[in-house]
Amino acid sequence: MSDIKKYLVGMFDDDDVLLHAVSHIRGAGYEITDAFTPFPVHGLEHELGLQPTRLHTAGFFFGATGLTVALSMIFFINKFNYPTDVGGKPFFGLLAYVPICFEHTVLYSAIGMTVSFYYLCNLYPGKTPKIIDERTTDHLFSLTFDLENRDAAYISAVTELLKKEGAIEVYQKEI
Amino acid sequence: MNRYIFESSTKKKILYAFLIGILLFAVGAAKKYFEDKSEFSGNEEAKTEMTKTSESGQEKFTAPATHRVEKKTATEEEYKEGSLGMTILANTYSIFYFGFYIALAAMFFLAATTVAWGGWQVQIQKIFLALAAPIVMFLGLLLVMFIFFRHDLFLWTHDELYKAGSETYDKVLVIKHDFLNMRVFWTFYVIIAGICVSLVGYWWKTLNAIDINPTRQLFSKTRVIGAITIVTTAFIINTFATWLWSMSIQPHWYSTMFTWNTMAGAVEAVLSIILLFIYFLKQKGYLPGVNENHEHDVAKLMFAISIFWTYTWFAQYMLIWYANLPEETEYFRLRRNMDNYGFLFHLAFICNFVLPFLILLTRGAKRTKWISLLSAWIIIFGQSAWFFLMNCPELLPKGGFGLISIGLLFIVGSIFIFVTLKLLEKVKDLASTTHPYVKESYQFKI
Repeated sequence: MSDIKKYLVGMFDDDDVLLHAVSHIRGAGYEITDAFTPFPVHGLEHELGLQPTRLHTAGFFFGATGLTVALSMIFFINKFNYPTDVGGKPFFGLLAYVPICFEHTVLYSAIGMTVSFYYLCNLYPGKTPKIIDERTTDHLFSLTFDLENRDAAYISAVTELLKKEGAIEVYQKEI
Repeated sequence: MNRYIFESSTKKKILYAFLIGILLFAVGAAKKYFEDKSEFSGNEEAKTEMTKTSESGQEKFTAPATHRVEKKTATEEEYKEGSLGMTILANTYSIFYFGFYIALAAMFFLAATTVAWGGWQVQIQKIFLALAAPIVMFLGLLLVMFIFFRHDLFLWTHDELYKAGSETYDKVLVIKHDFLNMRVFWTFYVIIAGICVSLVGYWWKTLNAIDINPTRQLFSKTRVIGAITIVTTAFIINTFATWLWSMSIQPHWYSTMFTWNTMAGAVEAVLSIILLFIYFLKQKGYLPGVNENHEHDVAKLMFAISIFWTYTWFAQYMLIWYANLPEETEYFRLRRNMDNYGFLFHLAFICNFVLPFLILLTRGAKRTKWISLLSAWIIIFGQSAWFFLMNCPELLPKGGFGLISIGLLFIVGSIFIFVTLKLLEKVKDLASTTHPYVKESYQFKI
């Protein structure tokens, strides 16, 4: 299979050590592919230099869809399909439908963003997730380096740097 | 640079604002005076009819009359709806009430952040304090209003309404008379004024004592005062001030959301004012530790409270709609009527919610000086318009927002700013550098 890749994995047992290691390794000019932690580490995404998420843009469009659906459906039903006289109020009093439209907006954007988030994280049905090291789901932290087109000098340099920065274990893995 | 020095150039600017206010006020008043004159001389018939049999004339004049209009003409015949005097009186009262609420909201915000173990606001809390202290001035101004103009402002103060068999007998107000009477009114004025003045005094003394000698006892004392401030604001000051001073202008109408809405609007306005003060003081070189994180937080609270204000604003409408209360729709009929106040009503909504929401939505906008300042000015205008709309349409059913209101906003606003800066000058440690939580404020990051 073509999507098997080779990684260099450095394991850490402390989040502070990990944070410093990330900034030093990036400062030395090496590119970190990804970091895996058992819990959210504050400031890690900043140190890794990750792009800010664009999920909220998707959320805006999902919400706009929900608003349109709610408004057009209420308009169609109350004005044309089944107009009901409630205490002489107008059939389409826009302000009265604010709560429903608001809830529809929230519902659509929440469900849409959840689904897109799972899709982006490769967590859709039928997908077997790749786990670099199962200990990262419990008590250890890991940094991974993509080894595609890298020579032995690079591997040894990164290994040495990782050990110097406090990694308790460094190994290569194909996954 | 830890003591604010009130420079003469700043004083000059405030004086210019004051003079602009006077000018606008004079132009507005003159315009209104000549309009009234031409209206009455051009319509001689209506004038004579009104002076002769004022009741029928007035009823013809304001056909969709409120309860108030009918009663008013009977109780005070010399009274002219929408006349120059009434326009000035209603606008002045509304702006004093707005000032009182801004000061109250500043004190509430100071208390809320202190009680919540807040650390970020420590460097700027002297601004809240200086904004809260003018509450004494506004209580005095409101007292003057109540003593001299209470019969013009409040319909329920007229005794004729409660006499059985009299022409103006009002069943609804008789039921409410147990609460809406002068004894209750003055009792609560004394209670509210006493609590406000003593709380502001305590805050002033304690926070200034921390500057000189930061002890643990003093810090605990601020939290106790903060807790007392929150509870009294919630249960005594805010509720009874809105009920007696603002909602009772339209005594037949009531709403449970009114109190919330007033306080939310005042907090929204005071946060905008605080943001203006932060940028002003930073421009002058004070508050060295305040950076874009603090400004971001204030702008974020502006954004959040603007949404909360809209929630209460909308809930007030929604409760009347869905609970099917046609007798309460009078409030919105008067304000959404496109002849007089409809434009202002929708403009206030746009200024208080739509524009701040869209402008302050992104993170970058909250950290950019000109964008957040723009929305702060929009909110201040929007809230002053909304306070006008809460108080005045009942007194001025034919419309009355104009140059007079803007002029009064400038006049009272410049006095308010002058007093606040004068008080900031008295503060010994502007950035509260000895407060126990000031380190948290220095390292604040969001």
